Amino acid sequence: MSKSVDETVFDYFSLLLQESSSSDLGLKPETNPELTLPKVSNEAHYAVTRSLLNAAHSSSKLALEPQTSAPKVSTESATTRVFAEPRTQVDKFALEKLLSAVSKPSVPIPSEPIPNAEIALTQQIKASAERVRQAITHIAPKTAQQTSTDHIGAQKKPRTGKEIKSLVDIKNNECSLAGIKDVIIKHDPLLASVVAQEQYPEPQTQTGFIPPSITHDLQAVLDDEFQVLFFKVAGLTLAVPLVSLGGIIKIEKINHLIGRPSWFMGVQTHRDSHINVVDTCAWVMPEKYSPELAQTLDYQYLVMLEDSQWGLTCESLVNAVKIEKSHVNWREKLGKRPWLAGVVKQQMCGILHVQALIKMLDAGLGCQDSIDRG
Amino acid sequence: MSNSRNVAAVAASKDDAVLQWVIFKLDNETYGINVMQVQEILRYTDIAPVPGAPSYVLGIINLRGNVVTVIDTRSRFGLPSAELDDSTRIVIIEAEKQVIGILVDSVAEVVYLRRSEIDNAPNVGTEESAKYIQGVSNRDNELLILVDLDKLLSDDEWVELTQI
Repeated sequence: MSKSVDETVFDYFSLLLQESSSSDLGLKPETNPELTLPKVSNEAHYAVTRSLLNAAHSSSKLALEPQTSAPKVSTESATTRVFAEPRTQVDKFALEKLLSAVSKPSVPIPSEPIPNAEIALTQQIKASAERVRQAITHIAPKTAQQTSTDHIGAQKKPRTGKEIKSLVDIKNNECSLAGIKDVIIKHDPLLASVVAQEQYPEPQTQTGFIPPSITHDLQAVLDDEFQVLFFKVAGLTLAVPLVSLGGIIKIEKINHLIGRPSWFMGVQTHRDSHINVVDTCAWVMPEKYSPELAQTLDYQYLVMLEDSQWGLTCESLVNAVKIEKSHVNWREKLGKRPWLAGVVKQQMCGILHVQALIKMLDAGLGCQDSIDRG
Repeated sequence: MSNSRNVAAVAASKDDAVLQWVIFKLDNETYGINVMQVQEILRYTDIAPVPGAPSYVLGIINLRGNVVTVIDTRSRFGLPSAELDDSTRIVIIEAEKQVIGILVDSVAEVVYLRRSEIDNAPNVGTEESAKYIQGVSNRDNELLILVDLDKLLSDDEWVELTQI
């Protein structure tokens, strides 16, 4: 035997605690695939394993189950096994003290700094282990029963050495690290998604990644300080950035076109062109729109959207003011209203995403329809 | 040189053909129908209702010995009904190889429009009546809505009319 079991156990926990890259540990589990622990050591090992795994929130408990079920444990005792309560903090010195009876003082405790990526992985593994532990607690009787039946097979085919190897290798090379992640991922779909992101890394993911704003195209064309026009419709104030304003036209005769949505008021001719007139109230607030409300509306102007043929009706023009980008709560996520770029904090009014609005109107969509439908 | 220019001008004029449209009014909007489909325009006469006829059929009239079905155009266009008056007309048209009459508020004139002067109607709306409009045109700062009479009724409805 190239190394004692006690040393191996110590190294194992040392590695679980992520204290070192431990390339110099000299573990050679492959040299002893038939490794079986002495009974006393095993029991100490299992007890320590359980308590420390819980304490360290370390690797997957499922992967360790076969270790905790020694061949001599009966089926009855296995079914009544109780898992130790997790400890929230891990004390390295307490671990040393705990392991002093079974470890050799000559084993160095590595003190190399942990790379950031490994810290992140450690946290994920800990979180995963905690979730797996909780899941196991819920299905403990069943799992234990299954485990006890596995003991028969385990007697024929000891797996302890191999599993220790795989866990030890977590610090030694990337391949093994990926392997243990796979084991954990099998039991933790949440972590699977995280790891999937890691495989296709985005630099911000690990540091509070904020998805790019879906209004970035609008924000890109706006200066830090930009002008908006406020206009009113049925008591609602809306803002349109001046860069997206195609013009303001007085409402004259609107020609009704048959077979169009209720929000489509018709067509107004203007300088040999046709303006498609949108009943802004009906489009923006369909849930509040009623014949009674329609009677009270007194549309005066058309707010033209960029160079499109679409014009939004409005009752009054409030003013055009300069606001700062930071004064707008820009919408960050996709939602029901892609036409709404954000909310102007001071005036507490919606600011229009004109390009999205044009896209929706061209597709004949209502304000809450998905833009993909178009 | 001048010959080729003339040929090009003729070709361009062929592409940009002039069409005549009969203009009528309906609910204060101006509509146009292709003059080639219009047979005649009648003052309002009594329309005999037909029991069991579809809702869009006002009834039938006797036109010099021929029975002609009259369509309720306002109803077909989703417009509110209106009182009949002196300007009410029945336009006799031919569409889908059938002769029918459409009731309109008034008939104004016949106008000439180049094909290039006709724009597409805004392509919004999924209602059946949306496809009745084949285009719009600006004329004297007024919007002219051009109606595709062949699409005024569906295939089944055209068949249904023959059975009245």
